[in-house]
Amino acid sequence: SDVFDQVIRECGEHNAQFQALIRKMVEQNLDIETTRNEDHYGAAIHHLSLLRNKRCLMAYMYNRAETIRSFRWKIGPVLPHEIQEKLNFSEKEYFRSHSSAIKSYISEMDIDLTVVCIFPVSFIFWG
Amino acid sequence: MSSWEDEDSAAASAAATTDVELLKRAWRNEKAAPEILHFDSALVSRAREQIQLLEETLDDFTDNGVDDLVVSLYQMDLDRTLFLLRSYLRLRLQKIEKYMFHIANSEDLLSRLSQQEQRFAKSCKEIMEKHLEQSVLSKLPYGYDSVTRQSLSSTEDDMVPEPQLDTFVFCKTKSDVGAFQLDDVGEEVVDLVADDLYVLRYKSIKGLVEAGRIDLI
Repeated sequence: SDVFDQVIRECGEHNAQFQALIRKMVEQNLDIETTRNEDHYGAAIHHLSLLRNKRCLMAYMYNRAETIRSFRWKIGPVLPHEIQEKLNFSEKEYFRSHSSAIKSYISEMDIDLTVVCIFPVSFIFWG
Repeated sequence: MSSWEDEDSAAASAAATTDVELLKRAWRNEKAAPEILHFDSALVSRAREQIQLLEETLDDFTDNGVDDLVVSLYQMDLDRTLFLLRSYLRLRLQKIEKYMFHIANSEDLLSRLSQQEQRFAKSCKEIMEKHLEQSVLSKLPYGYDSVTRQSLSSTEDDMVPEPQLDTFVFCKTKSDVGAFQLDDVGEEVVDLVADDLYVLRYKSIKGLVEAGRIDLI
């Protein structure tokens, strides 16, 4: 989570620089949309770096969430300690809420979907 | 012997439209298709009734001490049907989880889900949104804190994962379709004759799959 905080801080700095450059352009009474001076490009770089950081962070969290979801299906509603140590607080909450969403679906449908599905051998003979 | 053959062929033609066959077909299609297909609620409820019936029959048999072979045959049938149903529902849930934002934001896709699946999809999306906002977006500066858009300057939802409709799938035609245009350019025309096996892009045959004239394998 150190790296995470670092990235967040970087985003904040990018934004600050971005805002400063935009303000500078506005003070010079330049039209933000169309002017193409060095300030514009500086602002564009800050904006795009910020976007890239956001994409990286979101992708990281999203993929971790996908793995967490797969735990629920493979292991069940209670996670072993080794895994729990590696999740941050929001992820633990995500796991809990997602678990209960699955549980309500299962109880609504009245079929247990977390049972390991073994492919019946009889399929091979009878199709 | 000839009576057996008659029964066999009668059974074969009946099997073509039994619920198990329909369920198997729905399961195969769902497995191979990259996007979520229409939910057949009538079929699912009939399948559940059948499962219940099979379970009751099995209980009767074990009470009455029926021959083991017959019991194991019925047990196999029960296992198969249960597996099909569970796998079908599980596949759909997996697709919902994978494309939760895409599905929850599209009326058309939502209408393909059963009522319970719709509730599940909505709560999935909300849980994910809350999680992402808590951990990432609340710390980002204003203007960048949308889950589905990169920033205020994005003109559309560009951070939503969508299913790849271009993937190739194996398919088998059930009846004659005739000359079929594969893409908008009009360059590739494929003659679809009954019971032929093809490997095509899913997008091109999407309409035919929905109409039930092509089966995915």
